Amino acid sequence: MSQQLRIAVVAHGHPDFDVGGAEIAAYNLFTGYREQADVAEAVFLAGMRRPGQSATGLISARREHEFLWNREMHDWHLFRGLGRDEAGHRFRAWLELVNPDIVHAHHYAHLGIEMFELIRRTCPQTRIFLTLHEFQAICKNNGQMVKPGSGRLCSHESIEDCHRCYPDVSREDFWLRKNFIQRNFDWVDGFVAPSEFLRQRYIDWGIAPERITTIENGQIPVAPAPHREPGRDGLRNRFGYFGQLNPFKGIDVLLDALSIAHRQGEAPLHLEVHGANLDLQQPDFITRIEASRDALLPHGCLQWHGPYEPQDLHRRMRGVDWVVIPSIWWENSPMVIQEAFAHRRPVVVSDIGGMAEKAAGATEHTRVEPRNPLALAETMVKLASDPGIWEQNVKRIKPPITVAESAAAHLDWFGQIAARTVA
Amino acid sequence: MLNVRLSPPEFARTLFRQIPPRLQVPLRQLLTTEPFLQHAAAGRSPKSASGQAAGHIDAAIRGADGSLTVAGWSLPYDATDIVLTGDGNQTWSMAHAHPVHRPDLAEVFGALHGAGAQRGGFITRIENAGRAKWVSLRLGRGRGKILSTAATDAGVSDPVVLAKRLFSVPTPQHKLVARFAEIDGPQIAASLRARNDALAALAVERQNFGEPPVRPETSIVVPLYGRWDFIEHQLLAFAHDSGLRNDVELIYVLDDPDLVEPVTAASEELFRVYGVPFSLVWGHANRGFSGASNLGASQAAGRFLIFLNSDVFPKAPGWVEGLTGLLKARPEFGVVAPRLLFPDGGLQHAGIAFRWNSTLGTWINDHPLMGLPPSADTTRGLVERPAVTGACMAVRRHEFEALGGFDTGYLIGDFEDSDLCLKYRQKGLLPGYTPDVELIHLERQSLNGIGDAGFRQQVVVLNALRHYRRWGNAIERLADGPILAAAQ
Repeated sequence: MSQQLRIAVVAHGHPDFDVGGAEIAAYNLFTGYREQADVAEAVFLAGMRRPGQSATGLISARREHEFLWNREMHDWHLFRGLGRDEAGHRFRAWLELVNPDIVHAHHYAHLGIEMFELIRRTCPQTRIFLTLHEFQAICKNNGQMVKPGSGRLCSHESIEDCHRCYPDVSREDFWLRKNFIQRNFDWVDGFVAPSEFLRQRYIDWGIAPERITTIENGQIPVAPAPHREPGRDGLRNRFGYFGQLNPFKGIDVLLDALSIAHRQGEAPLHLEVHGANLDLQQPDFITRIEASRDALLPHGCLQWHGPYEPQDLHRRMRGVDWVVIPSIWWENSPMVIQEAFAHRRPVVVSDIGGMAEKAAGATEHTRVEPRNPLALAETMVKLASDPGIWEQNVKRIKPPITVAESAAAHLDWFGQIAARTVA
Repeated sequence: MLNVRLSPPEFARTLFRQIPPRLQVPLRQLLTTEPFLQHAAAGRSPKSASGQAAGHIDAAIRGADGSLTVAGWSLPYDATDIVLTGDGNQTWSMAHAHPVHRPDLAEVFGALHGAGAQRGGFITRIENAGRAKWVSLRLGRGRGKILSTAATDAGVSDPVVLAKRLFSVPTPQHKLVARFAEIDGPQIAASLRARNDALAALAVERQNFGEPPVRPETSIVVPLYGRWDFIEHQLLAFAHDSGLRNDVELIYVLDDPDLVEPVTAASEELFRVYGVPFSLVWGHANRGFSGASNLGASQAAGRFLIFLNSDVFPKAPGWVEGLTGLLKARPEFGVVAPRLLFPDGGLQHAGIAFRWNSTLGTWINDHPLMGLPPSADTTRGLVERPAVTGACMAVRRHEFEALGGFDTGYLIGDFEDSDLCLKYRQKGLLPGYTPDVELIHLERQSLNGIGDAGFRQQVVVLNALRHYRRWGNAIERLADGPILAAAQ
C-alpha cells in the first residue's frame, strides 16, 4: 500500500455519547490507524443526534481529527437519511475538506445509505470500505436474524421468508429493499466482517466472497485483572454478565438459570450483573427482569451492579471467574468475549453464531444451547463445582488481537483490493 | 359512515364563527350544515347539472390592494361552468384558480364526480374585486343557481396573521412556488406595504444612558426582540474595548413591545455597571429585522454603521476598527462582514452563497462550510462573496442611506441581508468577508428544507421567491461556481 494514506473512519455514533460495541470498535480502529506508519492522517466522523431536536445535517468538530455529523434517518426500511439534499451538501463539503484516500464506514444506519454514492460522486478516487457489524441489510428485524414475535432464530432470508415475518410488507417490497441496499453497496470497494460467521451470512445474501474478508475487532491492550483468590472450597463459581440488558442478550435466560440452580442447591453459584440500559426497554421486559432479579437478590446469589465505563472494566472483572454471554440471537463478534479474554476470563456462551465461533477454543461444557435455562443452569453448576475445567479453559485463552494488529490487517486488506482493481 | 343531517341555519352560522383561523373547512364539518349535500351523500343522482354540481366557499379575504382571495371547493358537472360572482354584479372566471387537493371530497362525491373530485379544492385571487361584501359560487354565467355564498373578510391587517391564514390552505410543496407567485405573494406584499406605511407614521422615542459620543466614527445598531439578557453579555465585551467605549455610538432598537418596560427599567443600572453609554430607540411597533435596523440607522450619527444581532459577541477588542478599517482602505467594497463562529467553535458565517434547494424549489442563502472547524476556511484577508450576513455587517452610512436601507418587503425576516448586498452590487460595490475578525454567534442551527413542512418553511419559500424575482439574474450568475464560490 502506498505511503501517506488519508483515512476517514465513519461511524453511526461516537463513543463519547453512544457506547455500543460497534461505535467503540470503530473508534478504536481510528486510533489504531493513527499509529500506523502508512497512515498520514486518520479522522473520525460520527453520527450524532441531540435529544429532543431534529438533526441539522451539519458537521462540526468534536476535537482535533474527530467530527460529529448531526444526522438522522427517517426510513429504517431502506435506510434513507432525512433531508438528503441539505445533509449531503454538508457531507460533500466535509469530504472536500478531509480529502480521504479511504473512507472506512462502520455503518449506514443513522447516517443514510446514500452516503456511499455521495462519496463516490464527490471523490471518485476514494476507496470505500464497510464493516458490517450485524445483519441490518439482510434482516428487517433490527438486523438480528431472529423472527419477530416467536423469537425463533432465522438462518436465511428470502422475500418469501421475510414477508412471513412482516405480512404488511409485500414480497415485492422486500425485493425492492434488498435490491436497493445491494445497489447502494455496489459503491463499496470492499467489506469487512468481524466474524467468519457474519461473513458467510453476507456471502449467502449476495456479497461476492472475494469482496468480503474477516478481520476481528482489535482490543486496546490492557493489563489483565488478577484472578480472584478462590475461597476455601477452591471453587470457580462466580459468573459475570457484562453489557446491554435487552431481550436479545438473554439476561432473562441467565436469571432463570440462576434461579433453577439456586433451587436445586447442588453447588453455590454467584452471578454479578454489570448491565446497562434496562430502562430503555419495553415495560413488560423491564417488569419481567426486575421480578426475576428481586426474587433472587434476597438469597445472596445475585449482585446487581449498574452500567460501567470502559475504564471500570478492570475492577469489575476482578470478582468474576467466568463471563456468561447467553444471547438468544446469533451475535457477530461480541466485544465482551474479547474483553473477557483480555482479562483472561473464560466464557460461557450460547452455542450459536459469532459466540460459538469466538469461543471455539474452549473445552466442552462451555457452550450451551441458547434460551435453555435448565441447560445453562446445569452447565454453570458443572463449571462451578470443578475448578479443573476453569484451569483448563484459562490455559486455552488466546489473547485477542490488538487494535494495532487489527489496523494493520485492515490496511493489508485495503491494499489487496487496491491491487486487484489496479490490475 | 356519513351522517347527514339538516340543521337550522342559526346553528350553522354559530359553527362557522367558531372556526375563523382555518381557511379550509373540512367537509365533514359541512355535512352537518349544508342541506344540498344530502343528495350527493345519499348517492341519489339528480338529472340536471344544477342538481349535481356542488361547491363551497370556505373563506374570502379582502386584500389591502383591493384584491380578493377566495378559497373553497367546486365540482362542476356536465360542462356547466362554475363562476364566482360579487354582490355588485361582478362575475369572475375560475379558470385561473389554483387547485387544492381535497381527499375528503372524493369520499363524498367520488360516486358522482369520479376520482377527479379530490382535485376540487381551489384558492384563487381576484385582482380587482371592487368592494364586494359578498361573494358567491354560481352555476353558469351570471344568473345560475347559487352553490355557496360567503361574506368577504377584511379583518386581517397583520401580514403575519394574513400569511398564516392563507398558508392554512394546503398546497403540495412542489406547487407552492407557483401558488405563492400568483396568489399569496401579491396579497401579502400589499399587506406589508400597508403596514410599512402605517409604521412610518409612528412616533420614535430615544433615551440615552450615559453621554453618547459627540462625533462617533461608528454607530452600532442592535435590534432587540424576545430575549434581551444578551445585552449584558454584549456590554461586558464592549466594556473591555476602549476604542469602542469612547468613539462608538451604541443603539439598541426595541423591536418588541414586551421589552420596552423591562429593558428601559434595567438600562440605567447596566450603564452604571459597565460604563458603556448606549441609547434605546423605540418605534412603537415590532418592525422586524429590516425595519428595526433601518430605524436604528436613522438615529445613528456615525460615518460607519455596524448592524449587529443581539446574540453576537466579539471574541476580542478591536473588531469595530477591524471592520471599518477595511471600509476605509477598500472603497470598492460596500459591505464588510466578519467570520462568525458557533458556540462550539464551528463556522457559522464565512460568506453567503446562493444555492438551489430542490426540496423547496427555490434559491436559498447558503452558508458554505457551516459547522466545520475554522481551519476549513482558507480565506486570507478581505474577499468578495456573493453576499454576507446581516448578523454582523459594516457599511458606510451615506451609501446605506442612498440605497434606501434594508428592504422591508420580506415577511418576518429572511433574505434582507443578501438583498442589501445585491443592491450594493447593482451600484458596483462589493460585499466582502474577512476571517481576520471573529465573533461568536449563538445562532440556533436548523436544517433548511426538511423536517418542517410548517409555517416557517412556507415563509422561507415566500421570501425566497421574492428575493429571486428581484435579483434572479445576479443570483444565477453568482451561484455558478464551486461550493466556495467567492466570485473572486
